[in-house]
Parts: sequence; structure tokens; C-alpha cells
Amino acid sequence: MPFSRGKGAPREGKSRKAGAGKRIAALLFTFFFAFCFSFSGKITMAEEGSNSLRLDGVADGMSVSLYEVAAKQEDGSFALTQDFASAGVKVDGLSSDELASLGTTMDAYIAEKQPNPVSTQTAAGGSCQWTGLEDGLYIAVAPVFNQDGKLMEYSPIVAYLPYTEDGNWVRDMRAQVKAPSEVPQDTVMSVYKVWEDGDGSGRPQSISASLVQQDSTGSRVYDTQVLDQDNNWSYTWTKLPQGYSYRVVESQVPEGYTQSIAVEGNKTVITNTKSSGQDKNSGKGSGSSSGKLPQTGQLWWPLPYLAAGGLLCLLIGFWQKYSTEKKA
Amino acid sequence: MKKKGWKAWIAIGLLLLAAALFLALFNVYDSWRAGVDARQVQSSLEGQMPGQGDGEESGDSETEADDEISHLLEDREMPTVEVDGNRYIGYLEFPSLHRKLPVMDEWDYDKLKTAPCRYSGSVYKNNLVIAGHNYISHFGPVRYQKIGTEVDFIDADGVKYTYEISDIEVLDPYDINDMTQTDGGWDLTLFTCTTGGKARYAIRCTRTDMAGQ
Repeated sequence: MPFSRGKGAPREGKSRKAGAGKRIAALLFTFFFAFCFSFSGKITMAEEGSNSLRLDGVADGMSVSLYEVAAKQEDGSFALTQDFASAGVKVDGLSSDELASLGTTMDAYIAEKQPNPVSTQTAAGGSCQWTGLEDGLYIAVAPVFNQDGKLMEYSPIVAYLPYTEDGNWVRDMRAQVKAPSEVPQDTVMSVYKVWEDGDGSGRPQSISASLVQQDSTGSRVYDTQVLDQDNNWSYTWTKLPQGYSYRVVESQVPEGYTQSIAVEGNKTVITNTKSSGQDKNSGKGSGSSSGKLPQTGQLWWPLPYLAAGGLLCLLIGFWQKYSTEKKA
Repeated sequence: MKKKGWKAWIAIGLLLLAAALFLALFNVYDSWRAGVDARQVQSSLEGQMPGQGDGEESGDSETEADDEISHLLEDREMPTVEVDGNRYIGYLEFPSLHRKLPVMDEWDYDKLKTAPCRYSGSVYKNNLVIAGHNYISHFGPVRYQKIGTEVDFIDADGVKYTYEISDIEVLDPYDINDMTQTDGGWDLTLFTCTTGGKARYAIRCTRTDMAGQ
């Protein structure tokens, strides 16, 4: 089970690619974990009950916070809890990609908003455990910490409780945590905004992206930048102080949109998706075509008719003049 | 009556020839004007865009191609540069014609008089479709280029994408689906009207800088 955060690989050279590779592996592992424990069988309504989560392989003394992102409803769907109501994420009907990015998105959201956890457990004997959990979608997050002079981090754990395994509902989850990884020290962080909203009608003129700085003492917003068309919906922070882990999060998700955050190396892509609409980049362009391709030609076709008509008239005129003069 | 008739015929003939001459001169002037407009925009555009030669952008592009996140960046809006109140996604370069043409982000008939415009798609998704007037100074000569001729697109970040002409089709003006190739056919399509304006030339291009990807 992964427990290293998906952020900030070295910017250049092999170290960057190696860092990025670890990130991808961690992300995939997170996804695999969440997938296995949430979609390993056909989901049907389970009886209300008490769930438990146990994480093994956590360093003793490490404080791990568990958050309930969404609560399971009577109809089997999930609804965001109060603390996560403004997260603007989908928690129902997630595709594999969406599920994979949920942990990254929630991790950044928690770093900025610092909502109240269900509880925080201090690992002892290599484990920490939560019991009496209601049905819902949970995320477990550990703070970054210093080890041997290096900044280390675990990746977030995302899990549905209960989950299905071989068609059976399982309410007690036990998972092995992946060893923490070193936080790459980048001095540059870039954020890119992607819109999945068709022709962009109803799209806000701008959004704000916050860079959240974390160390072993906690997290804080380092800077907030406006993204809009003038900066091509992207921004790059440079000369960042070292000794921190950085995350980028959208300060407020526009109404009617959901957000999804993907991180690799020092690049963060924030995707805002509208429930309806076709991607402008893949659909028809702007302008009014009325079902017809635009007319992109000059008016040349009358030219031969005008010239031929003119010459014919001249011929007739000169022929009549010749005939008149001949008779005279 | 017949004595005056020949004068009327000659007068009408001269009028028609004058109209033909006026139309031809107007078209030549309009094409020249469009070329001047495009060159002025191109000059401003290149002044605002990062240079291709600085290596940074092309280096980043190559690195991006290796990144797993690059597929997400394919979905981002194409970056734009504003010139005279219009937004441009970059420019086309035709080395064989020694010609550069700016490309606007969106199309309408007024914009097409200044520069070719994006009709649909994105260079990042390899489905960019660009509409251009058949002015001699715009796409007019492009339709006569040979298969295999190089065409380049440089986006607003200064990243160069290299293509070659792979096919030239003539499509009905209502064949929007064929033109835009929503099933993901061609990497780049340039289209313009035929001389009579009743059909569209579709110049289909294939990327040649993606080897090994």
C-alpha cells in the first residue's frame, strides 16, 4: 500500500525522471489499492454497519489523520461530508483515472483547508487503527517529517468502507503501507488549468490557485495566483524556499464544476469538469457555420462571365456598326 | 434605331469588361491587403512569442513528451498571444513558400480576412484544423504544394511541430465531419475554398517529429 505523496520530483535530468517515476509508481499503487478495495466486485447495497481500517508499516510515533470525505447514502451513493463540501470532487461513479487522482486532489485540499479529521492515531508497533467507522469514503494522511536530515512523506490512502472482495462485503480493512519517500526539493512549481466544459459558456473569467507549503510543523498557503486567459491558464513559481513539500490547489472550485488534480514532478494539472458540454479542443470551432464549412474564397467566379459577356457585346456592337456602314 | 443599336452594345460590353477588370483588381488588392495584415500580425506575434532558437521551449516539449502527465496537458487550452485585440495560437510556416502565417484562436469571417483561423481541434491532440482564405497571400498557393512538402506549426509557447503534406482532398462544404476528422484521422488539416468557392481543398498533414513516441 502506498504512503508517499505525489509531489515534486527533481526538475532536471535523471533525478527528475527518477523522482517522477516514483511518483507514478506511488500514484498507481494508490490507485491499485483503492481500486482493489472498492471495486473488486459488483457493488450492491450493504447493510449498515461498523467498519475498521488498520494500516501496517507506519513508523512508530507517526501521527496519521483519517478524514471522511464522503458518507454513504441510503441509496448507495456517496455525498461529500460538510468539511469536504467545497472540495468539488466527484465521489460517485468514478472512472479509474478519477479514482487515481482523488487521493492527490484530497491531499492538496486537506493541506490548504485543514478540515477536522475523524481522528488522528499515533502509530505504535508499526500500526495504527480506526474502528467504528460509518460507511463512506475515507482518506488517511500523514504529515511530512524529517528523517536523517531529509524531508520525507507518505502518500495518501483512499479507501471505500466497506469494500467488496470476490463479491463479498468486507468491513475490516488491513493494508500494508509503502515506505515513505524523500520529498524532491524543487525550486520551481508549475500549475496548468484544463477546462472540460465544451464551448466554455459559463466558465469563470479566472480562478485562483494556491501554493501550499508543508513541513513537519504544518502547512500554510505560500502564495496565491490568478489564472486566466492572459496567462494562458498557467503559472510557474520560481525560487521557492527549500526544505518544504509543495502542493497546488484551486482555492475555490467554480460552481457547477468538479476539480481533479494530477501531479507529476513539479507540474500540477488542475482539471475543472462541467457535467455537460463537449471539449472545445476536440469539437467544432467557434464562429457560425450553420452546418457548412466557412466560405474561404474570393469572388472570382463572375469574372469569366463578365469578360465573356463584355466581349460578346462588343462583337455584336462592332458587327452591327460594320453592317450599318456597309449598307450605307 | 439600328444605327444607335451598335453603340448600346458596345457600351454594355465596355461596362461588363470594366466590371470584370474592377473585380479582378479588387481581388488582387484584397489579397495584397490580407498579406500585409498577416505580415504585420506575424511581426508582432513573433515579437511576443518565445523564440524557437533559445532551445528552452523545444527542450521542455521533448521532456514533456516523456512525462506521464503529458496526456493531461494535451487537454489544456492552447496558449494564445494577443495582437490588436485578437488572440493567436501561433503561426504556420511553409518553408517551400518562404511564408509564415499567424493563426487566430477562433474564426469568423472578419478574422479570416486578416489571418487563417483555428476551426477546431488542438495541436496537442494532433487534430488541429485550420481554415484559411484562398488569397494568394494566404492559403492560395498551399493547395498546389506537392505531397511530402514540409509544413510547420509553432505554438504560442514557441514550440515547433513539424508536419508533411500527406494528402489533398476536395470536400463538399457540408462535409464537416470529414473535414474535422473527429475519429482522429489527420494530425493537421488546412482547408480553403476552391477557386469557384463551391468546394473545399483539405490539405492533410502528418506529423513527422513524433518518431519513437
